[in-house]
Amino acid sequence: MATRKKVLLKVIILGESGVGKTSLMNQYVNRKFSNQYKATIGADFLTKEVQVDDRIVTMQIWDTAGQERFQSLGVAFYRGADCCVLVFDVTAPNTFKSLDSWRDEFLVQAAPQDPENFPFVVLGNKVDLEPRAISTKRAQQWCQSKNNIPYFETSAKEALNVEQAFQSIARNALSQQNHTVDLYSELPEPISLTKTAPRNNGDSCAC
Amino acid sequence: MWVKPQEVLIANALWETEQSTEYFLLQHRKGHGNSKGISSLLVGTMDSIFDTKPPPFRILHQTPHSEVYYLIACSLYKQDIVNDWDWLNENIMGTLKSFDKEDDVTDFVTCKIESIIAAKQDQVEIEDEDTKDFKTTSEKFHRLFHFPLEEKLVNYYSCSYWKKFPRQGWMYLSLNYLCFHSYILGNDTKLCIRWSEIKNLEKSNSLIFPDSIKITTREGEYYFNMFLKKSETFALMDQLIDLAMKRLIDESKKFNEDKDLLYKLSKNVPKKASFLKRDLDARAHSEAYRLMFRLPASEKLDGSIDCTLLTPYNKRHVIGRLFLSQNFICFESRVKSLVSLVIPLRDVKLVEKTQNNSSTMSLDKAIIVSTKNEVNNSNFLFAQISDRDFLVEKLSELLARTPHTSHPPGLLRTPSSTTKHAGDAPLTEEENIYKWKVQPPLMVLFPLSSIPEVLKKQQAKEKEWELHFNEYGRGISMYRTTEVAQLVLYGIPDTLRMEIWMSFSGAINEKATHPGYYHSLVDQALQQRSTANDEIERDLHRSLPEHPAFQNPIGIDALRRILCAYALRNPNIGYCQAMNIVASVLLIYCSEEEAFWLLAALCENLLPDYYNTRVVGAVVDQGVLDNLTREYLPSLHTKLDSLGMIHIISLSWFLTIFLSVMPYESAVNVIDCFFYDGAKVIFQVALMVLKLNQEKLIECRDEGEACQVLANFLMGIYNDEGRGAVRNKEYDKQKKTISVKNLIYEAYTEYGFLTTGHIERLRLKHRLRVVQELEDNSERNVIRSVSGDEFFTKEELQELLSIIREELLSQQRHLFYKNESSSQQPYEAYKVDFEYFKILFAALSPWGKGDQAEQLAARLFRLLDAKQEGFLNFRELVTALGLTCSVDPTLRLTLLFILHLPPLLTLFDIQTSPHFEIDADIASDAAEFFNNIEQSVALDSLTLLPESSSPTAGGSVFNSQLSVDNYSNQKSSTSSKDTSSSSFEARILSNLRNIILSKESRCNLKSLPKMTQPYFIALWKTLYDLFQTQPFDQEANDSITHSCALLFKLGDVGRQFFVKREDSCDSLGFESSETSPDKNGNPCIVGDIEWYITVEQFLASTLNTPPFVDFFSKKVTLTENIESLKGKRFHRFNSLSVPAAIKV
Repeated sequence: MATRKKVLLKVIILGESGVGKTSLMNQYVNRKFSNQYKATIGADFLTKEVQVDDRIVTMQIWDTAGQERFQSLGVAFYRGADCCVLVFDVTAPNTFKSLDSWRDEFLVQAAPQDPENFPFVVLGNKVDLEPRAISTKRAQQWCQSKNNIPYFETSAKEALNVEQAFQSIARNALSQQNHTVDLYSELPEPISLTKTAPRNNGDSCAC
Repeated sequence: MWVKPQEVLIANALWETEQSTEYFLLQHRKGHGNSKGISSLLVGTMDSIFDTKPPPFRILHQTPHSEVYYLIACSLYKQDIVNDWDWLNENIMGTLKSFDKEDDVTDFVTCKIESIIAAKQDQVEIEDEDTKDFKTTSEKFHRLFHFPLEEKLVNYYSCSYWKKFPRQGWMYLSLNYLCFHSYILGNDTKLCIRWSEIKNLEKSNSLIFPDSIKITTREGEYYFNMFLKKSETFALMDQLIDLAMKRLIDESKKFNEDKDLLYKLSKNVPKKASFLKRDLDARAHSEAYRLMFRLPASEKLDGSIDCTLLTPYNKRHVIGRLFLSQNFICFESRVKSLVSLVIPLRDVKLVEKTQNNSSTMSLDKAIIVSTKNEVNNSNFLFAQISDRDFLVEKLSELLARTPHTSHPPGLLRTPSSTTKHAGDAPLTEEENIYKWKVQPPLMVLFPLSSIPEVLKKQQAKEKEWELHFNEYGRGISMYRTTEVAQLVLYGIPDTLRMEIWMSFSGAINEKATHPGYYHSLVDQALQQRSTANDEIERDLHRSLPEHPAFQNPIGIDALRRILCAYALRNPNIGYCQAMNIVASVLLIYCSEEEAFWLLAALCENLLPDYYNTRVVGAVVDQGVLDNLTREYLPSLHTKLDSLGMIHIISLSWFLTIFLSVMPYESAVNVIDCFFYDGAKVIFQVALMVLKLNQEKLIECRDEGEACQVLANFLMGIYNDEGRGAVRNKEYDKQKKTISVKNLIYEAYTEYGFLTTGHIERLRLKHRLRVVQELEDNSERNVIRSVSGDEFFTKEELQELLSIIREELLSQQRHLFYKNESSSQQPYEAYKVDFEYFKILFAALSPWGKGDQAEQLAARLFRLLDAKQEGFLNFRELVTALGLTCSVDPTLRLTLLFILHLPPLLTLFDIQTSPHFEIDADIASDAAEFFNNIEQSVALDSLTLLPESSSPTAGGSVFNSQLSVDNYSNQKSSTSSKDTSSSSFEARILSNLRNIILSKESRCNLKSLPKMTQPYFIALWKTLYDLFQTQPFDQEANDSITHSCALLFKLGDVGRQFFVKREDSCDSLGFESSETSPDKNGNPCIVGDIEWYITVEQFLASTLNTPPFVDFFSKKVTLTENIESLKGKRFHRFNSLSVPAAIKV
């Protein structure tokens, strides 16, 4: 690992429509908030270079469509994901309740090697808004019940906790990558660039 | 059934005479019925191969001295023919004797029969949808495959089926099945495949199976060949599969026969094929016709005729074909895309025949159609119509039925006038609390500052279009030529977009025929609360936020109105993200009502199934794009495939028609072409975009990079003729890549050869795959969601699900998720009613074998039907079966105990159960059984069964014994009519359900009510009944008897014990115990102390009895039983159908 300078981490953001997935991504990558985003159709992505413990990694953040009818179409985006971010809106209880199904659907479609230990991070967004419908405790309980998923309360609008959350996401994704690098290389899956191959390695990775 | 007399030369070749008189013979066909012998075998084979098979019974008329026979009646059933025979004997024979000459006899008979037929025919005529031949075959089809009559045969073809060796036979195509039957020298082959199970259908031409049709299902592959009409067969199969798939996608697309066809004033239509086949053919033609001219979905093609059209712009007579349907006259030139024409009948003012003018051939047999609409008055001249009179007759008939909309003169739909209209007109619906008025195009209200030269370009374009209108006409009925296509390609000027989009998309027709519809729909929609409306609300500000119109309530409100109205119009779609983006752009260029109708045309005709709850259409088109890329950009396809790109990129391209990926003022040019040319434009542009980026894409190392390449390219597409759109800084930073005009131009040059037909064919192919994948997927989800309960293995669940699915499909019930599915679990899509549950229970559960199985099943069903809706969803079903098949004995016995508690079992049930009263044998058995117990235990003091001393009176034992209880029970049941008691019952049920379902059932056992004697007797009877299904074993029998006796004793002990416990007893605690007369729901007379046992006692005793333990701990696997159930299913059909007649 030490020889590799750059690593690409693929992060998927999931959650109900309107919880602020696009805003969170943009707040983190471009450090700004806008209320002029269009609803995401299909998926969108941004990349950002981050430093995690002396290592520079490129984070490729995929923002997905939230409407329920798109839930089963995620498979194209999920492959090779290193971390999955589940977002809900702390003022809207439904968005919290649906986390279960997003998580399940992700695990089924992405079919990671070790579903029990696949890194998730949960973000309770819009903490700047009142009234709260989902208490911190309730969210934490859920996270604990799912194998101790890290939980952050964020506000994309006020840039609250966003940086920290994504740092943790990067860290988790990276650990996943280090952890499963060997496993993945055994997979018949042709692409491995997103996991480990250094960028300067030509396109040997593609097929 | 009498038939028109016809000569038969040899009366006995293939027929056997059953009865004969002087003048008549009653015969049946050899090979029919049970006769054995080589000749009947041969006849059977012959009939099967040549399908000559006439009805098996007939009556011949003969005269003693003539060799000629006349066939006068035939029938499929013996009864019918016998009736006819008797009628002949009674009514005709006497008269015939009076004739002198044999010729007279024959004349009389033929005349008589013909007159009978004629008299009958008057009534029958219109019902006679199908020819007799076809009816006969249809009967045969039903007999062969044991289908209910609703399963309609569409057509049948001779072909052979390859399985090791070719089997020559007949392929039957019905609405839901493909069937094959061959019968060769006693060797019967039957095959039956449901259309919706087919995964792939293709023509194949391999060495082993030359020139054949290959069908792939989940189970395997089937080859058919030696078709006489292969392409017709294939096309019909294709169509039927497509119907099946569409039904799977959308339940509302049920197949309804089009009875209108019957009354169709048609000429020279050969009545050979089946009615359904004709219906389907007509359907296919109509669909192609609608697609070609963008007509409303209800339009049915009536007919077409060759003629010429005078095109005034070049003064020529163009040869082509005229099409006619209820509301339109259309024309298309024989030379492709030279000119086409759509004339709505509502605009037609006059149709005239011209005087025949022999000097100019070109004007021979001509008609002139004069129209008048909002924008134009024009005359169209069609000539050389071979059958002009018929056409004119037809036209006048259609015109008489067409409601003509009157157009007030001042309402010309030019943009400026619509502005006025919206500005000043007091709208018709006044004092509504949701007061609103339709908005004009938002670009009029929110003009964007634009650069002078762009404005000039726009004006120049407008000028061009004006010139074009002058020459080719305006509005829906303009002559559509390559010139207009050219103009569209260059981009329609903003001011004309609405008009032209409306005409070319056909939306104008819907709007014209539904006045006031939009208004009332909006009024209704806005007052509703629905998930769709909530979803819409969330997205209103996320549609086209950069445009000032959508930073203002005016735009937002209009957007809300059209989206909510649409969600109400089409609940299959409701609201799908992406529609908001499309709708907001439509609103910019069109006034509100027009935007609504364009959205409707887009969702319903141009992009079918795109926005439904599973986005099926868009996924199908992803497949189509994948296919096209592989075909036309093979090297790029390899690359994209390895990156999984097609599926990443295309969803947003398709769903928003590029609006969300290009700057919208560029994407509208694509939309211009899209409304003109249909969905193929999206593919052309998509392929071009890929092609232009081919080199860069091939270099990409991951999907992210590739996406970036495409995103940069797409966002850089500019439109230097668009009215300066608002661009945020992002757009300005974007490097310009290509002008949209060039992109479209190149797309047409490069991929213009793609036709709508081509796309439709590909769609059909991929729809098949996508729908099957979705089915598989949802099945997997169901299995996954249920396998956590750990009753059965995944394989067993899979098997179970597949038979349920089969059952649901055969009932034409819908599997897919409904709209309100947001909270729905996957397994809720599969539900069984009690009728089917009974069958499953009997076949799969060890408890389903005895005489009491049905009552047991009913109670179990009631216990687990949590929603009390008369259905068990898949999970509940699995629980029901699991509890009787696979859980530990304690739990199974507890369940059995619960199933004999009120309110599941009532005294009324016990008493009226046919099992107790009618079935004397069993009743006496039972009585004997209990008698034995009595004797063996020597129940001393208490006569539990006072009258049971005589075994034969067993049936009445329970009756009289329970009469007291019964009295009170009936009393309580009359009072239980009120809602409170029924909800009370529901509460008890749910308590019982919770006890049996909770993981720590042992702790909960205490809360189970105790059981009184009559119930216990019923329980014991059930147990006895269950064991009857087991092989007899004296030892086991003895120990059961012993155990029973023990429990009787225990119950008796309890009776004494009960007195002491009475005051403190609350372990039995139903919270509602105060409101109930007794824990069991029975009125309990204070002082009269009951016999009872508790579940613990029951368990303790039974679990100490080895036969019980054996029986209740036996783990039953479903797989075998399901196999045998599948076999039985066929029997079920069997038993419904008439006895098979062709078997030898």
